Amino acid sequence: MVIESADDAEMQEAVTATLAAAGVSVEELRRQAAESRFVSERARRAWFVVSPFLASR
Amino acid sequence: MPPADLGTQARGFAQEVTTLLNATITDGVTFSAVIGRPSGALVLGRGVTKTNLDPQAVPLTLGRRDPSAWLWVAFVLGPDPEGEHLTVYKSGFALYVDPDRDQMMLHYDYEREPAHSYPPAHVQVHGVAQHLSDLSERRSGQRKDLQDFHFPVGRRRYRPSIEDVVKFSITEDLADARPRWRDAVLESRSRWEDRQLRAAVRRNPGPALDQLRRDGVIP
Repeated sequence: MVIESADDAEMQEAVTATLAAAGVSVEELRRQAAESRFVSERARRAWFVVSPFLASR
Repeated sequence: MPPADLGTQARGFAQEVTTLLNATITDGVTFSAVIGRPSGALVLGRGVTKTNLDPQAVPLTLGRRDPSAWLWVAFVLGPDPEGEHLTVYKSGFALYVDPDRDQMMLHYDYEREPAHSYPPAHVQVHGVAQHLSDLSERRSGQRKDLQDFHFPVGRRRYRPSIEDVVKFSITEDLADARPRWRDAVLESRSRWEDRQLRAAVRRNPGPALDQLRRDGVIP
């Protein structure tokens, strides 16, 4: 299994790309997550993978 | 014996998941992961890279037929508060009709520290449940669809696992299965339950010590 290591800058880039692909902003996604009602499947999956890396935003 | 480093533990965890899937309802699936530094949080799934954090869905087929469905499997792992043991902070298992993951059938979600007030471990199902929807509308004036309900499915230690989703897919005839799938599920579930039990005892050793004393295992 391949495990890639990403520094903070690389991870923030990945987070930005994931949000862009889902078509949501961090603020929108946080709001949707708080209600656990996402506008799309992409947004739901985006929250799953980016939320651990949002602290610095 | 000291615990293995977290990268090694993550690799072992991923190997167990792929072994389970390829021994039951999938064919030749592999997983990858990205570990964020310095937090140590790790996203694990099929096709995960530094430039693509969203895991691909796994086709449910044993190789010869078109997939009957697609299973999205994703984990967010990280070190426990002591930095010793790999911990599941999030898990997601979703069944889709399509490979693009737009048409969801159901999803099991677990979040150790959810951002919402619903159960940390829950299942959501797409479909129609008229009585539930009618009741929600009568109560709040807002009609909720079936997929909006978060059905609780246990808590941190006793939530459904990937083994349960595999078995569900097989016993409900949503996927073909290999002949020895039961053995693979039992073996994998046994490891999962041992791991959960160890974690529960680490966090709350009193009842475990008490029971062992009562049973005469320790003085």
